[in-house]
Amino acid sequence: MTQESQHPQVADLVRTDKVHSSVFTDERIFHLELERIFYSTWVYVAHESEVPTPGDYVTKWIGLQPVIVSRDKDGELHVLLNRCRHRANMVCSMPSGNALSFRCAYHGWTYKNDGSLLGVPYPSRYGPGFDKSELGLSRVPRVALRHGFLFASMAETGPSLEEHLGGADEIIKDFADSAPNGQIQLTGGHHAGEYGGNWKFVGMDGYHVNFTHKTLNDLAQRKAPPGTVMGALNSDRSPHVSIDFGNGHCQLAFQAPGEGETDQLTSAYRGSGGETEADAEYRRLLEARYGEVRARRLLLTARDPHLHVWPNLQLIAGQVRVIRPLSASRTEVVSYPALLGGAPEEYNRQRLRATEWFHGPAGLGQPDDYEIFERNTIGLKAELQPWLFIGRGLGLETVNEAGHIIGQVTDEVPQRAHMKAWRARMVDCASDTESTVAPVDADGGRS
Amino acid sequence: MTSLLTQVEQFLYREARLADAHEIESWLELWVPDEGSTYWVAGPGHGGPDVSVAIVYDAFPRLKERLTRLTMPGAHAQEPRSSLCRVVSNVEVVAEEADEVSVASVFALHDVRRSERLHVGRCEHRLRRSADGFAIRSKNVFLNNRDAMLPTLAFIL
Repeated sequence: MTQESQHPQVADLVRTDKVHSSVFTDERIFHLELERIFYSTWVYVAHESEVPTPGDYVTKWIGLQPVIVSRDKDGELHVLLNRCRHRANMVCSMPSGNALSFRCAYHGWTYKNDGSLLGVPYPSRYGPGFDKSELGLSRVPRVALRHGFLFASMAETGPSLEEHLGGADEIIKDFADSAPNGQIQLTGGHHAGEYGGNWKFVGMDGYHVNFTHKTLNDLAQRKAPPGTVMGALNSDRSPHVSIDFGNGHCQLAFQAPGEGETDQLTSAYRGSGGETEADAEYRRLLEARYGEVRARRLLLTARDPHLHVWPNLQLIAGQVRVIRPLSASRTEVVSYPALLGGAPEEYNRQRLRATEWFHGPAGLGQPDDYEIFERNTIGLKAELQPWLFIGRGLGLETVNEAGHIIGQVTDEVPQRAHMKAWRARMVDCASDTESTVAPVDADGGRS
Repeated sequence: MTSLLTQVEQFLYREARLADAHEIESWLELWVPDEGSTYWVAGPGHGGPDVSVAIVYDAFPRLKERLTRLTMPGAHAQEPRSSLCRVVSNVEVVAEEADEVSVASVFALHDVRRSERLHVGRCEHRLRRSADGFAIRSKNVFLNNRDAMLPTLAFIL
C-alpha cells in the first residue's frame, strides 16, 4: 500500500493467494470500486416481476446512484437516473408505484415514465435555445433483460450481458425455469439488512458453515437419528464443489447429493425434514413439464442455486439477494424470496417460512453471518500483518471442458474468483475479458 | 379486586422483564405451548404472512427452536449478549371474550451491544385466561422501522 496522494497501487493489493486489508477498508479504494466496477461493468438492478404492468416503477440503486426502473405504456423497460435535469432533485421518492409521469417537487419539471421531458412551468422565461428533447432524465447507457433479471451498465460499450455472464447464465436460467410457469415472482416482500462491513464480505463460502453456523448443526443434531454426523456436507469430505465461472461469477454447487442429502438440505432451511404434500405437488408439476432428469436438477436449483453473479447479485436459498455498497465499511443487503409462478400456493407459503428460518434479522443464520462481518471489520484494523490468506485448495483445482475452475466445496475458489475479477476491473477496467478463468501466477500476472 | 387492565399490564411487564433478561425458558412458559400459538414479527410492506416474508412467523414449536438456539454456545451474534431494557406503554384492552383478551401496546427497547440501538414498535397480544393468570396465544410485533434497513434482532422482541 503506497502513501501516494492519488490512488493506491491496486495492482499490488491482490495476489494469487492473498488480499491486502486495505481492499476492504480504504475509502479511496471504495470510490475506485464504484467507478471501475459498479459504474462500468454489468450490475443487477431489478427483476421484471417488480414492474409487471405499464406504468409500474420501482426505485433502486446502481452503486450510490439512485435510479428509477419504469415500464412505459408500450411495455418497454427503462433505467433512468433519479435526478431532475434542472437542479438535481430526486424526481421519484416512492419505493414503487404506478405513474405515467414523474413531477419534480422542487420546480415542477415533469417527465414521462420513459424519461422524456414533458414540460416545465412558465416556459416563457427560457430563451429560444431551450430544447426539451435534450433534457430528458439521464438514461443508463446499456440495459439488458436476461431470464427476467434486469441488468444495467453505465459503460457505453463493452461485452454484452451474455458474454459477461458466461457460465453463470445457465444457472440463472435454471432458477427461472424452476417456476412451473417459467416466471419467478419477487412479490413476496423482502428483508433489508445492514452490517458494518465491506460489501465484498458477502461471498460464497463453503468453509464457514460448520463454525459460523455451528448452532444450526447442533440444533439439527438433537433431532437427527443416532449416528448422523451433521455438517459432513460442509467438511473436506463433502462431494459438493465450488466453481469459478470467470468474471467473478461463482457457485457452491450442491447438485450431486447422495442418499438422504437432499432432505438434510431441506431440513437446514425449513426446520423439518422430508417432502411435504406441497413439495410433492410441485415436483410433479416440474416432472410433467421437464421430465424427471431436468426436474431433479431444477428442484435443487429452486431450493438453493448458491450462485454469485458478480458483483452484486446472489441466487441463494430460494432468494434473490442484492448487495448494495454504502461505504468501505457499510453495506446493505436486500433479499427477496423468489416465489415460483404456477407452483401450489402452499409451496410458496412454505418458501416464505423457509426463508425466515435461516434469513432475516432474526433468522437462525443471518445474524451470525453479519456478526462475523462486523468482527472482520474490527479485525482488519490490526494491520501488523496486513494480508488475508485465500489459498485454501489452491493447486488442487481441476478445470472442466468449459474452462471453469472446480474445487472442493470448502476451497477458497469463490474468494479467488472474486479477487481475480476485482483485480482485472480495478487494474484494467477496459475489458471484462481480462478477467478470464486463466489462473494467475505468483506475482499476480497471467500465466 | 384488581382491574382487568392492571392484570394485563402486570402480565406484559413480566413478559418484558423476562425478555430483557434473556430468560428464554421462562419467557416460553408464558405461552400456550402448541401449534395453534403464533408469534409474528411483520416484515416490510403490508402483506400478511401468507403472501409476504416476515421477520419471524413461527408457530410455538418453531419459535421454541429459534430461541433455544440463542442459548447454545456459538450463537455469535449474541456473544456477548445485548443489554436490553424496554418500556411497555399505551396498554389497551381492545376486546374481551370469555376465554381470551386482545391487547394493544407499544414498546421502546434500548439495545446495547457493539453500538446502541432503539427498537420501537406496536404489539398485539391475544392472551388466554388460565388458572394462574394469562398465557400468550398469539403475539404480533410491528416494528416502526420495518420498511427500513434493519439491524440484527437476535433476541426476543
